[in-house]
Amino acid sequence: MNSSFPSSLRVHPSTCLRWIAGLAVAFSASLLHGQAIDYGALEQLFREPVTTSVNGSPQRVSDVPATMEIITADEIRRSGAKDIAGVLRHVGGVDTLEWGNDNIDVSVRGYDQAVPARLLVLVDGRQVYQDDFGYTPWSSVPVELGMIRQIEVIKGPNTALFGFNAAGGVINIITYNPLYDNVDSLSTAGGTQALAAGSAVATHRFGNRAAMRFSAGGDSNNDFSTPIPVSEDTTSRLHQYRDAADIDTVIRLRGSMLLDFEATHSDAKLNEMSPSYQLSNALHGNDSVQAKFSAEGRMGLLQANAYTNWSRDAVNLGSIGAVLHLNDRLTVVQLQDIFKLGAHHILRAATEYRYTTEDTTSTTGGNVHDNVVAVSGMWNWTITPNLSLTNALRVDHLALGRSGSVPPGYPFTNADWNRSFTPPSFNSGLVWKVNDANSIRVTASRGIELPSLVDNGARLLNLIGYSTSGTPYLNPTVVTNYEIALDHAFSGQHLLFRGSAFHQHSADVRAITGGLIVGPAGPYSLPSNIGSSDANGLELGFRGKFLDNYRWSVDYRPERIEDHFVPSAQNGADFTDYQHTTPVHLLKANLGWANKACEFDGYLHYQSRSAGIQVAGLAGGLAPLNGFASVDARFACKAPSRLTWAVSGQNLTQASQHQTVGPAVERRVLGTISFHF
Amino acid sequence: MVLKELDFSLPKLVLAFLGLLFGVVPYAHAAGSISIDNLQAAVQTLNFLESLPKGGPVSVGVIYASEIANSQQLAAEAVKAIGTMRGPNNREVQAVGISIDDLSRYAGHLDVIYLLIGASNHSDAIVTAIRRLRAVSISDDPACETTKCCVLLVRSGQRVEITLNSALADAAGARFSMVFMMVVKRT
Repeated sequence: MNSSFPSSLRVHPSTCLRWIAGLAVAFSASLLHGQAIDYGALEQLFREPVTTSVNGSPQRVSDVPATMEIITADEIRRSGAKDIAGVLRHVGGVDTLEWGNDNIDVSVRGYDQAVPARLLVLVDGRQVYQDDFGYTPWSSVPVELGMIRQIEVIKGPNTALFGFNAAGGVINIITYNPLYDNVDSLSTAGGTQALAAGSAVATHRFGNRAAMRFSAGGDSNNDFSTPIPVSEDTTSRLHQYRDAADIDTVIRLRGSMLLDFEATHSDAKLNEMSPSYQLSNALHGNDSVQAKFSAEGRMGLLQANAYTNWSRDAVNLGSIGAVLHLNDRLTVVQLQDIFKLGAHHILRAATEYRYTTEDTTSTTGGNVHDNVVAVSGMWNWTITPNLSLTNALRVDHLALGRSGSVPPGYPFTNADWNRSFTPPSFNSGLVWKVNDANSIRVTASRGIELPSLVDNGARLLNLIGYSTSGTPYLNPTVVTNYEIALDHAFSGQHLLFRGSAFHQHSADVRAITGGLIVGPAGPYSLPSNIGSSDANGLELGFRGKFLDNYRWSVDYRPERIEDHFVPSAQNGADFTDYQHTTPVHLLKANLGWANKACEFDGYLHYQSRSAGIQVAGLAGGLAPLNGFASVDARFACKAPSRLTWAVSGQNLTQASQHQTVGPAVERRVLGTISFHF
Repeated sequence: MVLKELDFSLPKLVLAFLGLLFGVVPYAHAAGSISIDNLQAAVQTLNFLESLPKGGPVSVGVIYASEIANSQQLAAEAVKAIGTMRGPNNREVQAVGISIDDLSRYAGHLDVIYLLIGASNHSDAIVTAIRRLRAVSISDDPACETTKCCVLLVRSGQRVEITLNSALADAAGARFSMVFMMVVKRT
């Protein structure tokens, strides 16, 4: 694994500092006073979470023109999960494919697959989704569970706010702000699969002017020991580990202008299911630096954000005999202003620049990159006190490019990458609060999923008898979503129903194979656009409380997907299938109990019979997967008050269970001791 | 005998029920009880009041209409409840009960005027006091929205509803954070 970065590719933190300081000076004349969002104070006031993840402006979750779930810090703790993907396993409408102890792929509203590309994942607005393969390796997200205020899950496209790849949904992880939140905790865990883990989060305020948060954690474990299906068995499982650290400093400038600097680091080694459904050994390393500036004034709520992510991935492709070294860099600069116009209009204007670059691998010498310039706007109109309309529009101009050498006999030249796209995306939503108990939402949205850098040409394998490459001639996948939703509160605040019906159309679905080009040196296998897909589904959820100490929830999602793929891509032949691999019935349920000292939660996950993709010769194929139910649980007590002892388990009812067509998932039990000071 | 008593009391019960239903209770001159939830939410809105002086305790005047029979008692209850709450940055909150008749003569410092039910019938006196004292008026009485004398209407029912009267906030010199103004309703 190459852990060094060419100095020419680095954006030095001092450069970011100067940029942000200049911006602050430029706007200071018009900034009278300001406040970044104090999520805790807003949640305490409104008794419900507040989010900015739907249209950029702060909104109560019951007001947002989208279907979303917010997982609070309390729910994260009570999930008993050891990582973020484990927390998401319990969320209604969220699909998970658990390939190994540290390898869970996550999507929303179906469309899950190995290395899923449709779900954009961010931490406080910073992308942790990796553009190389186009997915999120959850193990390398540099966030400790104890530093998360809430996880926001937006179902459906939201490219109009977040840009490319928010096509099927968005997960925005909101962490505690050290300026407003005091969070100090230490935790250690041990359990089956030789799990040993530790985590620390600390915040400190320097008067009213500055605050700092530091977090670090790591774990080490063995992967499952269940047999690997022959078709996926290309390499032996390695011992897995993860380490991560984050430091965040918030400085209150003149008045209440805020400047925020954050740096993160993470490394992870795990056994990972590859896009071609073969088990690989993967190393993921990530570093990032970020500077944010926010202020209020006559101009509204102004926010500037700049960050650079460096990721270093090494993926052992096993039987192919190659190791892909993926070193990509993403630099993003964003500027947005949110302001009110009169009493009934909120507007947001934003612009963004992104630059992504990656060297070709395993054949080196080339570089694939893209430049994106985007402008976006949002208009929220409160038509009457009970009726509001939100429209958001974004236009991204993407210019693709390639530089460096090409191997002899390569069927493309660098000029083939001189292409550009200017796809528009939108989100529109009408929210009608019929009365205190009922709310109806009607929404339409269009999202864009870009081909990954690997599919765009960073992958360049020249092996004897087998050559494969990315191609610049892939079209982005366009996802359009229409839905109608109803929230209904029964008898006070003790029973809430949330339901939605959605239709989703995905055009130009992408697969990792299916294309072929013959050059002077022979044929190259290429990724391709294989057709379209339609999904129709319902999301029905009830949650309530009883007898003061008990809470419960049931979420049921029936969904049918119809793929309309070219004949050669039918039934997963190009390693892409959604119609058969998305379960028609997905049910999640939770029963929890708590008193002042102890708490217990049980979770049920059921999904109906479906299929999974397995390698069949050189192509993919479908293998049946029986329906299954699994149970997770956690029991915890405080003794004394600052010390929490917890025992939790996943898949408790069986020693091992087939939840994918990959290796069976094992029962896991872990004990955790947490100290809050 | 019992039947006779029932015959006698039933019309009154029906009338009382109908009265309650339509808000014209026979004892219309008595106010109900105070809502701790509403008071708590009202105090929490002060976290977003940027014009609030930065130091010292937060001063709240609980305004009651003296023509309402039990209003002085309700004011005393509200003063007691508010006194147990904490303001922005954990600051102490000091409350005092003030009759609407005494408001125009009140010479002390007030950051907030909390209007009990019935007080908003005296909107002129309240608006004058808001301007003079540069204090923010908050109430859970929906009538104050109609009479335009509360900067914030804060009600905590099935969900917390907050309505901000922007013109009155300007008159009181009250400045709320932009984030807050984007989340609440504005008139």
